[in-house]
Amino acid sequence: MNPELARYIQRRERILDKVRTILVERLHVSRAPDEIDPDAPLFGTGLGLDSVDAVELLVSMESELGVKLPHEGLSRPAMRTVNTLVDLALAHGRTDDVDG
Amino acid sequence: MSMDDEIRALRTSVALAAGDHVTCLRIEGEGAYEALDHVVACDLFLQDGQMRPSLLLDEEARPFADIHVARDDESFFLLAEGPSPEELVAFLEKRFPVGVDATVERCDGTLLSLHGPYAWELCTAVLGPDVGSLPYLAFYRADDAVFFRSGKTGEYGYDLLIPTGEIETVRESFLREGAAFDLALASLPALEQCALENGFFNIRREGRAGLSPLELGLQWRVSYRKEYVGSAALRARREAGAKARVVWAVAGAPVAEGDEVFLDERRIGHVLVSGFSVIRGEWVALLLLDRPHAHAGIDRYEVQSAGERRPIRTVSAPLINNRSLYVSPQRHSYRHRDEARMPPFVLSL
Repeated sequence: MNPELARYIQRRERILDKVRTILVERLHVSRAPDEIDPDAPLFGTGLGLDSVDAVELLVSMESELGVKLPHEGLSRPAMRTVNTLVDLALAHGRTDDVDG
Repeated sequence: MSMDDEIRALRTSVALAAGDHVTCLRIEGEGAYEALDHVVACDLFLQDGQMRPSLLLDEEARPFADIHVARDDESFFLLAEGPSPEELVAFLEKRFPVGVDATVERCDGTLLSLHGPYAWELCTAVLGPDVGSLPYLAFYRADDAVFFRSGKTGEYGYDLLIPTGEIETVRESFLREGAAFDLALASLPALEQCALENGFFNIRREGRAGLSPLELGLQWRVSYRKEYVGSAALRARREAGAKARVVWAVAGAPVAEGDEVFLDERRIGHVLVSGFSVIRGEWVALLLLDRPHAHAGIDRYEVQSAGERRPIRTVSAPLINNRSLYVSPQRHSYRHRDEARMPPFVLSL
């Protein structure tokens, strides 16, 4: 595999693992990490988060992955699925937290 | 009206559709909970008036039906897509535990569905505020009608079970009141294209590919904490590890179901479903990729289609930044909408 692609996939997988950990440990989603599929919806009956969880989720994304929303308008599209959170972290998170 | 116009209406105003691809059943009796709990793949922790999306699996853990299960006091509604009504009833009656008191009846009435960012407003105009203000995944009964708030398009969605004798009157009311909403009639292919764009499971397409919830990314719809039809096979598949997983993708050129996906010269999967998105202005597809390659955000894959290699880019679902995210029944109306203030349908994070 192309080294650049391999690095991207490795980085994406590590962020995905961190997002799953946030969901289980900070948001108390009662699922094992491997049950949380990348495109699982976060709210409604997906993983069952609610509006209170949304605040905690943003706080955790910032503390754990350095994510700072560039503007308020991104919060809704970024918090739809596990994968949109990963996209958010890749675009607006720290770059040094997933190499080790 | 073309399918493109149907989809544009569904994404920007309201669309009315027939619900004859959905079967509504009612499960009653002292053992209704026990019987359903044995066949439905999710935990049945539902309050009265709540509903939840899940699956009926076969013994090999493949989806048999795409369902919403709704609790109505000690009884349940089951809204199901996939099998015919007769196949569905036979599936349930064969698999309900022996000796449990539960009956399965087809619901009286005909289903209509309404979808769109202003569907709530048209529902309020025709059926009253109790329907228009229903929370997501809840239902409301009025006389002989039942109104479910669900949807598989990413927009406000309502499934309306109307007594068959009243269906034409209700339909005419929607058409009359809907004129002020630029109401369109949506076909099943238009609903399915919208479902694909929003990452909703389609039992008639990828649901017939012989995959389990593991490969389909539907573990959030199933439980690993109880026994039900297909649960043993699902656990065995999970322990063995899924070798492939679905991923969404976009492409500038047509891609077709069955086209193979490549990374350089290595085949890494194939196209399960595809369709042109008039909203995105490009093709959207659901791929089944080998697990190591099944990730969003990659633009190095290609599809072998019509004798040539075509670039494809994997993306996260949903693929549409739905208007319904930004339309609030407390603050907005179709009449006073301001298209210029709406965010774009395709938004890069």
